[in-house]
Amino acid sequence: MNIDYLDTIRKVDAPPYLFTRIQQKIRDSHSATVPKKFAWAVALSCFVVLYVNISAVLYTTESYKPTTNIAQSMDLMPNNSFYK
Amino acid sequence: MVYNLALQYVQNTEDAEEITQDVFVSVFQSLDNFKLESNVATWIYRITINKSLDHIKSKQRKKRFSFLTSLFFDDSSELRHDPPEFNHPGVQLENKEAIEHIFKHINQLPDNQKTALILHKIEQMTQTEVAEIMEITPKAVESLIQRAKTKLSATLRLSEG
Repeated sequence: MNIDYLDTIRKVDAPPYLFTRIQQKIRDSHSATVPKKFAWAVALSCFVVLYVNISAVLYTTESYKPTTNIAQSMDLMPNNSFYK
Repeated sequence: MVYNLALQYVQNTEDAEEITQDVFVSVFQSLDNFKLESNVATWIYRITINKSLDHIKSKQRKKRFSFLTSLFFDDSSELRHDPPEFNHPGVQLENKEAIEHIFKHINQLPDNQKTALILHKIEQMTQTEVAEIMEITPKAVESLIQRAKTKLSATLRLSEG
């Protein structure tokens, strides 16, 4: 089979409704785009929430006293040894 | 220009229409990034080629997925998505069978060989124009076309027995 058959392929016109569809799709894509200000506001809010969460976790870890300290402050035995 | 080029890649009017729409949406969205020193037609050709190749890859992925789902979830083990039929309005009826057969083999070529062959042989572009679109040298285009033709002739000869 000869590949010269490819030379017989003719150019065709796009269907007439395609232009309207393209216009509609461009309009849809335009309206679906999120405004930059809104995107930045969402990003900032996420950052603030994340920051508050991380700092809360770090603060509670630092202020947490080990059970040994609590036991000692209450004059309790921190271990099972009866003889000091 | 866009519709015809997409048609050479997918050989199906529905897919070509879908690609054409995607190309113009893409052109509209990236107009700000377009550099004035390059040719508009070349830029649109590049977008069309990329969109067409992406469309083919996405269809192949869907086909593989549908095959797997039909294996596991369908009792009749039938494919849920039929392969797209050859529907190229630019092909004359008397040559339809032969060209469909040639396109089956063109679709097996590597992307760059396929692009070079389509642009040069079907879209009737010069090697310099193809080189500009593909961002390679005219020598490299010549080599790609030569390799594509050799491979195509060999596979066509094999398929004929």
